[in-house]
Amino acid sequence: MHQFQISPIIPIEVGGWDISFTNSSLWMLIGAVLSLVLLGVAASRKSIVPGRIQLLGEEIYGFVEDLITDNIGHKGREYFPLVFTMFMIIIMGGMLGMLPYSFTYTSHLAVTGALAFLVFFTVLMVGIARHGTHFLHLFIPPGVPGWLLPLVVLIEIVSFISRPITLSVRLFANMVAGHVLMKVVAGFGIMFATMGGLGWLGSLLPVIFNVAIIGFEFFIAFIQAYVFAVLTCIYLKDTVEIAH
Amino acid sequence: MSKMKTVLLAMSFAILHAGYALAEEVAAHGEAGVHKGGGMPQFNFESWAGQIFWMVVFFIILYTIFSKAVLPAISDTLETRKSHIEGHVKAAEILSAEAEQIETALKEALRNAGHKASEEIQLVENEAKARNHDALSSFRSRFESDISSAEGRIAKACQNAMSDMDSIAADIATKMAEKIAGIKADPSQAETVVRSLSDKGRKAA
Repeated sequence: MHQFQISPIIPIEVGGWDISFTNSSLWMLIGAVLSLVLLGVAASRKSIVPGRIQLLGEEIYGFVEDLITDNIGHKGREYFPLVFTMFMIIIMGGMLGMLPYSFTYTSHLAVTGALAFLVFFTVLMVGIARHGTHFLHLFIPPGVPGWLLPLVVLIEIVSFISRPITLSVRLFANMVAGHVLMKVVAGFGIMFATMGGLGWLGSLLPVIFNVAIIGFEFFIAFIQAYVFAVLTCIYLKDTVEIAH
Repeated sequence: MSKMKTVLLAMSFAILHAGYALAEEVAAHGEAGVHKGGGMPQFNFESWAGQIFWMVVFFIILYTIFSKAVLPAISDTLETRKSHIEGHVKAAEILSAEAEQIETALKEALRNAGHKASEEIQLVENEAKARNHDALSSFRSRFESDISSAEGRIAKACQNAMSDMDSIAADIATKMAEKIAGIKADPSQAETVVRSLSDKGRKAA
């Protein structure tokens, strides 16, 4: 579990809270700087025929834009920066986490939880501010017989409250599981390698397997960012319109 | 094949080497982890405040810069490109419409030129025909007048000849009467008789 260990780089303490700049914060900084440089360069080119970096930036932009128009609709444009930032932070976390000796900041429940609750409270506050008590209709699906209503409302409320939990645990668990699996498989390789004699031949299989897993992990880093962004869109849709 | 084998072998040795190093490191940190009490670092709640704080800080920074600078710029570029392409497409449409107009004008001009040409040809043809006709008719009238004058002359000659014949006939008749019957006939009387006879014959004919 060493790869998930948080170690402070610059110790900071404010009002009894330990908010040290840690290895986790360092990789957040690297991810933020990297995404700002990448997108800043892409945005500053402004060429009619885009180059590689500009095209990459525009592709990410178009990808998130399609996600929002598909899941929220054209009213969802106000949430574009939110979903875009969410997507960039999570994909950067996953991708940078694939570098050796790096730290995957999305492998911590505190971080994924913070992002998930950000979405949750955005939905809750914007929803109540816009729809008032009508927002409570979210918990009453149409066409439910009266005698079943208490149960359905209870289920709806539980599912609404569990949204940030599932959102954060999904991302955190995926990141942890992938990295642990890689390490376990690498450990098998080391085990064979340290056996001596022709034991190193046995380490070839876990090495090949790990190569495949690493490719798969890059895919998961993208898919998890995508899933998080899609679910954010779906949850934010409740603030734009309540289906009934 | 042998090249690939060497590469694979070299790779295996490199991995082996790295493996030893990693094993030592894992062992060292494993012991340290055990000393700290183990468990997942994710559930060491002492680090939560810091993580949440820094995540929120970076989120706010990224959100601000993205929403204020990056996203509007990219959207601007995309919009510019869209309008640029649309402008070009529109210009192309206008040009093709113009080309079509020019083509129809050209066709019209060609058709008009054809009409004019055929009209002119007709005109020239008619003129030629008229001239031909005039020449023919003047020739015919000249020809006819020549014929009629010739006919007149022939008829006159014929008449003269006939009247000569009458006087000859009267002369012969007088002479015949004198020789055969010994009657002296008046030549002018004889001529009158012959003329009346030849008139009768001419009438009968």
